Amino acid sequence: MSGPATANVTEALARIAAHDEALGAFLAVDREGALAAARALDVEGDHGGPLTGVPVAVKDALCTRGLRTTAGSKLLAGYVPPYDATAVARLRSAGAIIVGKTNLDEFSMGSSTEHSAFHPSRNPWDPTRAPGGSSGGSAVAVAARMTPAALGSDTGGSIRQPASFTGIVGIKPTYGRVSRYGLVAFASSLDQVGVLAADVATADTVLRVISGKDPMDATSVEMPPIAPLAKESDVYGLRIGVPAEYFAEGLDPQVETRVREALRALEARGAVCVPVSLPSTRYAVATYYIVASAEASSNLSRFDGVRYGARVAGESLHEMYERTRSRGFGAEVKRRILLGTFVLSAGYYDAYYKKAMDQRRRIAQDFAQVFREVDVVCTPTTPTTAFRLGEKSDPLSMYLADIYTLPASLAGLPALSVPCGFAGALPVGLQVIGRPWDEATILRVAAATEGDFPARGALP
Amino acid sequence: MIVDDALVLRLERLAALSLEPEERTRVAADLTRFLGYVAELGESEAAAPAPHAAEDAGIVQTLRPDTVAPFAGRAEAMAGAPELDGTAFLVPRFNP
Repeated sequence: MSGPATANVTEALARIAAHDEALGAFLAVDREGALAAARALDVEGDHGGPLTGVPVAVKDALCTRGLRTTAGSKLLAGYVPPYDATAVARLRSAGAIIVGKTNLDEFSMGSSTEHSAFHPSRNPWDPTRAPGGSSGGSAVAVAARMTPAALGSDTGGSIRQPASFTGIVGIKPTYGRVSRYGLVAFASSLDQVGVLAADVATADTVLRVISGKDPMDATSVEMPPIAPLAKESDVYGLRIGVPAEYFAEGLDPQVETRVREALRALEARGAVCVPVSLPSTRYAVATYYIVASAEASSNLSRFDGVRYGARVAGESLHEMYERTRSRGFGAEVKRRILLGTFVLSAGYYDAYYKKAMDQRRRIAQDFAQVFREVDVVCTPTTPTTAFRLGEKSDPLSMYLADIYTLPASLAGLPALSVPCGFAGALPVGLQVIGRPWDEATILRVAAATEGDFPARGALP
Repeated sequence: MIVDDALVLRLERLAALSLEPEERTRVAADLTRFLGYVAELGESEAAAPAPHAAEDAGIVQTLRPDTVAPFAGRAEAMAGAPELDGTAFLVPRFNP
């Protein structure tokens, strides 16, 4: 039997077949599984779920029962999870159909997908450029309209930066809004599952489906659900903080022009822009790379070749661990594990990790102070448009490009990127950061901006 | 701070990694550069910050009941193991 779900999935699979060879969004396409799920839905009739028959792609850092989950690493190349991540299970319950698993930087460590152990993904607006990362494959799948939405995860900007680079909407909710159960851990105090979507209404719907307390993740929090998005996005009287530190040296003038136009358009709708200061922003890159690497060095110690994943044989147990990890992890992952090990080691902990944790609190306090005066903070999502593949060969220069997305992650705040026009042929994103648990307001601002700068697909 | 090969070797041992010599030299250079960059953290004011915003908001984290329950997926969970003897994971001897 053919019905609406089968038609949606067939169309998604056709777009994947037509474009994915050139763009590399997917690591696995579950053609048979998706079609079978769609047929079952069509037989069942209207399921009543908010995502009935909607094809969704899932970042390959989220476990999918029976479907290979690699986290972009050779070490997990053959890993088939025996369970679904909570966000994936909630998607399925809402009637969504998982069409495949998308590419990412290995263990979500990167900003370009060039650190995937399998292949880089390409930006559909210009295939010589990176789509951003680490949720780059999910961003490409949505930007090329292979699927209307995809799941990603954001540790320091891994949803917002690729959304900005590919001209789509990407939201990282408040830390604790979405369960991390079944998300391959990178830095547990920062990791948060979120949504990449073609438009704000879809992002809002998917986010509400995956949100909510989960007994399997003690850091998920019971909170009232996100208020539904109104049809007409009213930002009249809303106070928007515009931090000087995000419009400083290093910001591409064309990106600044587009973002300031977006702010003027919000003012024309009755919002009030207020200059604010977030002085600890300058320490965000140093703070983030210390905290995240420290947590990664601990989280990734579980990959030892014993219970799942690849194994490289050794004479002794320790030799087997060392060989498995040394050959299984890529260069960037090893670099971060070693950095994390260093900042946690005796003699260096106080000078690096403890200082970074103190700084993290100052960054959170800066925001708390500013949110006494304003309802949201708006900034560019990234200092530049999408960079060329291979352009950021020096690790530090790649890290520095994350400067605008890291602070909201360190403070655990909800933040999104919404398209606000183009610099040349490349999309520019406006970042909207909200108070804790106030996803509704940042989505409202995004809907207004979307009204001023309608989104469009990257490919015909 | 200069990170040399000897320090990287110590970190490798702590992290159960073993780098090739040229990889080690590259990591030493990358870590030296990164630690030079993060030295700016030392410049920030010394006053201890107040507790984290989430603590201020009075959020209480709840845990699921700590009860023993049967796990149905044992065979499925073990299916991906590199080496099994049917019921247990097999590993090389600690001291061969």
